[in-house]
Amino acid sequence: MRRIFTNKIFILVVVVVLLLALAAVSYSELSGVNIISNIISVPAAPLQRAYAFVTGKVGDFFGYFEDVKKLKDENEQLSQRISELEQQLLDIDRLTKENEELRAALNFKDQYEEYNFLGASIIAKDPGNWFDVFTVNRGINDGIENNSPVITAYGLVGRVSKTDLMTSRVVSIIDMDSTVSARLSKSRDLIVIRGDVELRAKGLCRADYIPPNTDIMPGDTVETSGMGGLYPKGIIIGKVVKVVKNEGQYDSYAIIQPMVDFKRLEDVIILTKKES
Amino acid sequence: MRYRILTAIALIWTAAFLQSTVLEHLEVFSIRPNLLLVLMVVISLLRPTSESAGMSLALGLTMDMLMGKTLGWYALLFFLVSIPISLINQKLYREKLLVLLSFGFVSTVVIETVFFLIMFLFKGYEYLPFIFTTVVLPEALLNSILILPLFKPIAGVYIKLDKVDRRRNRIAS
Repeated sequence: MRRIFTNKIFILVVVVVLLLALAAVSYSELSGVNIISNIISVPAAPLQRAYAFVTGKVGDFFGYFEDVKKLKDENEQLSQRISELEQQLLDIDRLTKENEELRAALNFKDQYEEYNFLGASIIAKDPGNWFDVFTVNRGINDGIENNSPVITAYGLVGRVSKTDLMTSRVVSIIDMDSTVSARLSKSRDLIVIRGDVELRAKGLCRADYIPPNTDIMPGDTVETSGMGGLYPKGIIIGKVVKVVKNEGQYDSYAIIQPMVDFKRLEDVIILTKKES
Repeated sequence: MRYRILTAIALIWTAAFLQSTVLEHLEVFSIRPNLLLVLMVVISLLRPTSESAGMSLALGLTMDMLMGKTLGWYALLFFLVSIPISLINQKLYREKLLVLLSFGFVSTVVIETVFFLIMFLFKGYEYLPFIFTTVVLPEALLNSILILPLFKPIAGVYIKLDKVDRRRNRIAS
């Protein structure tokens, strides 16, 4: 009996079987076995945070000299823009009041009122070349849960895919494993946005299942549909940059430029559900 | 034994930290070298089968944890690739440039191709030629370059550990 347990082939088979079992068990993002990731993430978090801080400061320092030239030009353009915007602001004030009155009259529920907004910084990027996953400095201790939507002021970033004690992993909308139920802002047609192998490196994603009669063209804005219960309705995802029409009924697809620049993303907002 | 385990933990942990932070700045055309994979190849070239298999398992599991997806696939691939390398490492001129380059290159191609097949092929992606030329081959090239400066320092660490072992054995006997 002892000879069996010291047999190298037996040990090899046992290790392989155990690893396959681990892969099967941890396949679900909600699996309890994923808690072992804390072995790496908890001690690494303070160092990753420190590294992100230092590289940010170094980048700011060198960026400062470059920015001075740009700022002069921008200043002139912005002065002109301010006068235009002041005019628009007057219109917006009027429209906001009208909107509030109409919403109150129709008893609309604010889509974000059930969420808390929690700021987070990216402290580490995906270590490999396959996924677009990054680590943020908020975890279970901050009340983050799996599948919490992640946004910026510009639009949708993705969702929390795994939570550790002090950090969380966020899977971006350009990741190959990501799927978002979306709607075209103009025509209100439903589409599905997903990450794509070829487009991922360019920071783009793809809209699939576009019915033949859909009114879609480059420049159209895409937003979350609110279906599926993962993302609140109306978060801007991006703009259509190209539409590829094919013969089949659902063969047409579009290329979407997300509003968020994933290459330069540093800070995000995580939406956590308010406790009722 | 204890200092060997501590050294292994320090090596793995340092590699994990560098992989998730510093190596982001070494990306070439959005492709980043895989320090943990390179470390696995180096250790498999230097150490006997049982030791390198154990280290490869730990390195693979660390890579899985860093990825934040399914646990176990990199651990399995690192483990299985390390065994044949460690079985033949005594017969190789391990310090030779060509040996290091080719083992770094081939191991990366095997591991990343199989990883892609496991993770994506059954999900309906059929981009293997595209993935092979834009991700696997560039990463294999980067890894085979990274293995060159890494081999000697890691070999140095293990030579020191062996010296400490010999000294302790002499004292004990």
